[in-house]
Amino acid sequence: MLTLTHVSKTYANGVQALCDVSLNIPKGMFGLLGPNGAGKSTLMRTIATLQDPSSGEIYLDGLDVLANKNALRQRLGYLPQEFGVYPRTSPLVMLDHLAVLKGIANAKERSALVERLLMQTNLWDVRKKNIDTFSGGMRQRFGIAQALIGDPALIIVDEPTAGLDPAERRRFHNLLTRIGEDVVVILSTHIVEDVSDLCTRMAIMGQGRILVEGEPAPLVAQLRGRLWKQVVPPALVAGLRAHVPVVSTRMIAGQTEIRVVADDRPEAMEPAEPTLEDVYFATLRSNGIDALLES
Amino acid sequence: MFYEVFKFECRYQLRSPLFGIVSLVFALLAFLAMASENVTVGGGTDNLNLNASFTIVQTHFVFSIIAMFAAVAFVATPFTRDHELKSFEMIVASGVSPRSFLAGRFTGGLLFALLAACAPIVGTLIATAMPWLDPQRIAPLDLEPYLFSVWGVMLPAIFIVGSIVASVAALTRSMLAAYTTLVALIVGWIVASVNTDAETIRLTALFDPFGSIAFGEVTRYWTVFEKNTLVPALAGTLLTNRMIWVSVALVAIAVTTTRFQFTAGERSKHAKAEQVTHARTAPVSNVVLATPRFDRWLALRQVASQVRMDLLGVFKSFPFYVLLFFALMNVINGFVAAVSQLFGTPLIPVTRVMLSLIESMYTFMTVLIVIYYAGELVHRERQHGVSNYVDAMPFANGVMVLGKIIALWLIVATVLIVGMCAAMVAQLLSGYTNLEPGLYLFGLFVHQGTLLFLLGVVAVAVQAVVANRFVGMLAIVVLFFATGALDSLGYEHPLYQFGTPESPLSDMNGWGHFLEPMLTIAAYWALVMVLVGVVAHLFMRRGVVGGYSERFAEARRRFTPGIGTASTAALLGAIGIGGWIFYNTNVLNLYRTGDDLEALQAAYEQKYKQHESMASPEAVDVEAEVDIFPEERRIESRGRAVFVNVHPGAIDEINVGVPRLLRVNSLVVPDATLLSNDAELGYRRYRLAQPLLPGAQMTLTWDLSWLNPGFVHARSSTRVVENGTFVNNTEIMPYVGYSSNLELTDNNTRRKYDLPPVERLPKYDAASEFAASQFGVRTRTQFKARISTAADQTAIAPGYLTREWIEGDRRLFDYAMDDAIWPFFSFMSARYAVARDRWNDVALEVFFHPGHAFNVERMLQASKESLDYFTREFSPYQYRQFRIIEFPAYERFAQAFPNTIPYSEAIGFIADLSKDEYIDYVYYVTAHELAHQWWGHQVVGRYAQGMTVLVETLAQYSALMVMEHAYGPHKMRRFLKYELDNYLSNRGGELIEELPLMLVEDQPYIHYRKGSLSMYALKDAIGEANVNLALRRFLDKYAFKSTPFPRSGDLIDEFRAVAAPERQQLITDLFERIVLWDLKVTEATTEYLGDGRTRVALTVDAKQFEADGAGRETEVPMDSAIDIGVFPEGSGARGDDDLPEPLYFGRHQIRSGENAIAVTVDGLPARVGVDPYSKRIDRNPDDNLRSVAR
Repeated sequence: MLTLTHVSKTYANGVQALCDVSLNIPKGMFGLLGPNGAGKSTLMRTIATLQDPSSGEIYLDGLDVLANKNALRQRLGYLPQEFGVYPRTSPLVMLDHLAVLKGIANAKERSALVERLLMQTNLWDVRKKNIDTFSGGMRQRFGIAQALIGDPALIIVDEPTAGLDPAERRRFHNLLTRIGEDVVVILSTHIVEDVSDLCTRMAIMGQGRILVEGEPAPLVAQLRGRLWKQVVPPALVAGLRAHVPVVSTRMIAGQTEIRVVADDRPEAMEPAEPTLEDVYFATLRSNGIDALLES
Repeated sequence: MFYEVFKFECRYQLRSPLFGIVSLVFALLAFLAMASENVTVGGGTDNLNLNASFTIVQTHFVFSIIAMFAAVAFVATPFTRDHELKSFEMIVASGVSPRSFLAGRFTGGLLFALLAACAPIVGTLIATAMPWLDPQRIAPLDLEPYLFSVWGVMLPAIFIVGSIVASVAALTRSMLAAYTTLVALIVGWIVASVNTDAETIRLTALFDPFGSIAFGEVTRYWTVFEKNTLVPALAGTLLTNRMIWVSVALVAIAVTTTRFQFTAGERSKHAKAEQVTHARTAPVSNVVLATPRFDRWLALRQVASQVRMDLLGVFKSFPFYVLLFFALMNVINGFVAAVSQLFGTPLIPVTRVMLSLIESMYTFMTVLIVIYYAGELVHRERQHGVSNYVDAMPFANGVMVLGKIIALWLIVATVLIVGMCAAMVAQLLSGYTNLEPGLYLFGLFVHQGTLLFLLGVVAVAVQAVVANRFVGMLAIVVLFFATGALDSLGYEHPLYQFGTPESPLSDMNGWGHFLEPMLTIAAYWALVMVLVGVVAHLFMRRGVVGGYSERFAEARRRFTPGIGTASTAALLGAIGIGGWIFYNTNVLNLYRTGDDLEALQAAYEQKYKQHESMASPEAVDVEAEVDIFPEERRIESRGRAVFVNVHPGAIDEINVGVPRLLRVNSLVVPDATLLSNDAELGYRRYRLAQPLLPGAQMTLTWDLSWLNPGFVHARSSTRVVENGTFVNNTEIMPYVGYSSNLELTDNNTRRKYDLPPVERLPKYDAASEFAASQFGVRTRTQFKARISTAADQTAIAPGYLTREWIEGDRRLFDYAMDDAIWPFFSFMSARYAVARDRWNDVALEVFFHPGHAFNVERMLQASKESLDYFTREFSPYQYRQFRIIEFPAYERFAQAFPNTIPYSEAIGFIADLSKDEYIDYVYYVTAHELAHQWWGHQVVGRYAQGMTVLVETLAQYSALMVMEHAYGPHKMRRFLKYELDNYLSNRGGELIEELPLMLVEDQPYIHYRKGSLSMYALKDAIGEANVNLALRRFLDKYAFKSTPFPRSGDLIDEFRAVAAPERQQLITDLFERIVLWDLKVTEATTEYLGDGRTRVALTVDAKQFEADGAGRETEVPMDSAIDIGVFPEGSGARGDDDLPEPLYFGRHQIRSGENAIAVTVDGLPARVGVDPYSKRIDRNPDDNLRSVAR
């Protein structure tokens, strides 16, 4: 169980990146949704001991993370959103080195581990090629491999499936799910589908705050009966926005489908079956955050 | 479109802080170089104006090279910037044509590079107006050198280097490649500048992209006057060089314009790896297998793994090999230059020579490597985005810092080992097989390496603290030079002077007494570096780094009790060792800086100069007892000397000087009262109870100790050493009277102490008939010495060995002279091997270091042939023995004491004479020193201007003659070429004024170099027999006589007496004036007359100049007999630089202006020449020869 209590981060220039974040994250997959700039990465880095919060506390299974950074690091697997590798270095050499850094001192165990990780992440055939010639997906798999070294009790993955093809993405999801049974996995993403597919619990962040936290299904259920949709020509969208609380729009066959949250059914609209995506947009909307629609 | 890009570029450069910072730093540096005497860049001599044209231009040449580091940032970043900022696609999409893009960014970058590079010019200009500068050394403002610095120095340099570097940057989009190119160009420049040989410098100057070597070549023979006023013309070597390099730059631009493409190069790379099919899909079960174990050994394994990763990165990177390659090139080039430094003759590459070579040629590159790779290594994880996840891995904070330091050390070690192997290969290739890996390792890793290893820690610490590695590199460079500047500001103490003290190596004496301070100070700094390493550890960035308060908070967290204990231990250790150093340098010894010593010299002169003219008695019988304790570096000097009053009046006051470093146990002047005792300056004044009447005697006795306790901070004496002690009487015996040798000789320093301009010697006419000889006295003295030393050493003093015996662990020697000698005694002691020979009844001995037998036979041979010639041509040899005694390489000279020649191991003992074409300078030096037994010991001049002509110039002549008979005139011509170059290039370094030979004031470039040239020209004009006849007559008149001692004019009179009337003018020109000739063949035509005969018509353009003391020349009418030669095709028997046997050779009277000469020769002429063998002093001897037109 990872517990965050009143974690805040204010930068020297006054920007508040995290604002009183309190979370209880049990074992299993935890999804963290939010638009760019919501503070997800700052939160990830803070939990990963790479950045100190201005205030607040973080505990992992009773361990005071901020006072015992290395103790946390010993149990951490971390895949940041952006990462690189040493130039002219193969995954074999690089993983071996990283395994040492992660405490796998025994050479035999290490080489067995590295071998297994390379197979799991499907990099075995390119294990002696330089990583800097890899494609985005291969690099990402390498990143996953390194995060899995050393039996982590807490795995933090920041936008892990960006650049992966669907097959790779599925394999990765399977991998995560299996691990997530025994450990805390925090999955930061802006792809709602990832969360709905994988996570048992989730939170939505915006402007440094936790806007909503809970299990996906109840959150979706809250919207049932309050979500309405209408398909209109794109030219009318702007006019409609002025009259009804539009939470999202999406293009369907050249027409625009708008979705609206309201207790009473607006004129000319029909009820819609809510999804997690609707929860996401509705949450942002109700917090005054205008997220661009992605689909 | 071009204009848009250009404007954008200019705005970008203006907004970036780089331009402002760089300009400011450059302007400031230049300002300091001019306005402060403690900062020098390039540098002119002390006799030049501070704002001499030459100095200004030279300074800006130096800045043009420094400026390049910044220039790369200006001209190369425009091409790599988009790539790094990943904005390249946007530019491509904007529709700019590649050519406009290139041109716009390039001109923009170039403009700002040029502006920044011109900042030092502004700095210099402002500095010359500063009120504190010595007004005597500031000439009125002349804008010409400044303008030349802009268009002749900076503009071409920036264009050339900028174009090349920008091309590389545009084509590779890599800053690293751009910087590597710059380093390559700079190393090329260093390699080319190693060569100072007059014959080949014109060629090597062409390889210098900056043009500074060509500038040096063009101004090589400039005099002080010319350096003060002239700006070089863009002509000759300088023009050729600039044209070659501008062409290179244009080619680079052309290549870039055709090859540059907008399509980003990296995409294609990815595709290949992507092709790999997903062949294996591993089971996803059992994700985790290995369990981490966090024990105390893990950190060490992590450090090792980190080091391995970093070294893999470095050893796989191209720049490392480039740097290594250039460092090696440097060593190889230095090897070629260093081993052929005297008259082009190589040295035998003993390990000592190779070590000092690696040190001098390699250190710069290794320091660069340390600074560069510290930046690379420390910022490596961040630069490549590895730190984004690695920083969250469970390693202790110290792992990374330690890993980086060790990796950097291993890089340095690799570079040093490679240097060592290269040096050994060079030794083996030269046929030298005595490899000494132990000496190499100690020399490289301890003597040279300490600085590098320590600097590595500093560099890592600086890089750990700063966020930007280029800022870090700059900071380290500044730090590195700041400690150098401290030294010149008079802050010399090793406790704050980074690195180990200078520790010269000698084959005879090893590291000697330099070893202890070297190791002690290295240990001290190593402990200080532990503290610096702790700072690096505390501030090494990990994760997202906040502001300073956060970093200090983090540092406090990292300052664990363990670190605290280690720091405290290191601090206590440093204080302990520092205390021991301080005890040695400041308690056991007197801590005196260079400035302090200057002040002492000034005080000595100010206080006691007034006694200079006071009559002093002179020694006529000296008995010295000298106990040398080599292992303690101690000398006990006792003795007595009988003094006689040689003056016409009575003497009632005696001043006695004691060498400053000596402790006086007793000093007895009988029947005298001590008036004053200045222990600090070593000056005592006594009043005699009874005035010493003319001819009356008195006896002085002394007991002095030279202790050399512990070690000193700098300028450690190398006179009394464990193996190779060499001291003379002025160092270990009291002397009578004021010694003008102790005065400050630099007029600028003298002005600081309000001393009048130095008088190097009394004026020629001011020295009365009763004036002393060059030895400072009028009488010779009997001499006897008893020297004791360690039992395994031989001690030597002038005189004949009368007894040698052992008492306990001491070996004792009695030496005695049977005739009176000048009071100039040497005392030497070392473990020697001896080679003995005889010439008639003269015993010849060479005492040498057992490993240095190479040229001992040559020395004996030269001694015999010299004795043959000198006794035949001059006068009999006055002694029964002649000894050459080797002393350590701390100094490079040989010196002639009576029948005793101390001879440095650095000159001659290790000369490589294996090839016939080499000039045998061992022979030359030996002959020269032996000649001093005549010129110096038989006859000596009056203490006045011109006196060294009678000693040094005549010794040069004597050696030349012996050499010419042994090796032929061809070798002489090559020898004299070196003499000519040496004379001409040293005129510009004259500190006070150049004088005619006759009035020379102990100026080596005149009495040796010009002396050789003048005597050889005289011999050529009036014949060897006549010169020697004049010398015999001169000896007849003055040898072994006392006052009046001869002056240079007396010698010249003898020359005039044997010379024909038409040669008198030449004697005047050679000896009494500073005369230079400019002779050249301007036209040469031939006409074939049939029967194998050819008529040659040539036009000779001749000018003669007379120069004043500053080198200001005025043309004077010429009318002189000059050699004219007509030569066939090909070269002489001795190689390419030898002219073939002439078809015609004769003397023609040449007058100022054009001279038409026609001769008829048998055979086919190819070249004609006026003064073809360069016997006249001509600044441009190359145009003396000309190929004939057919």
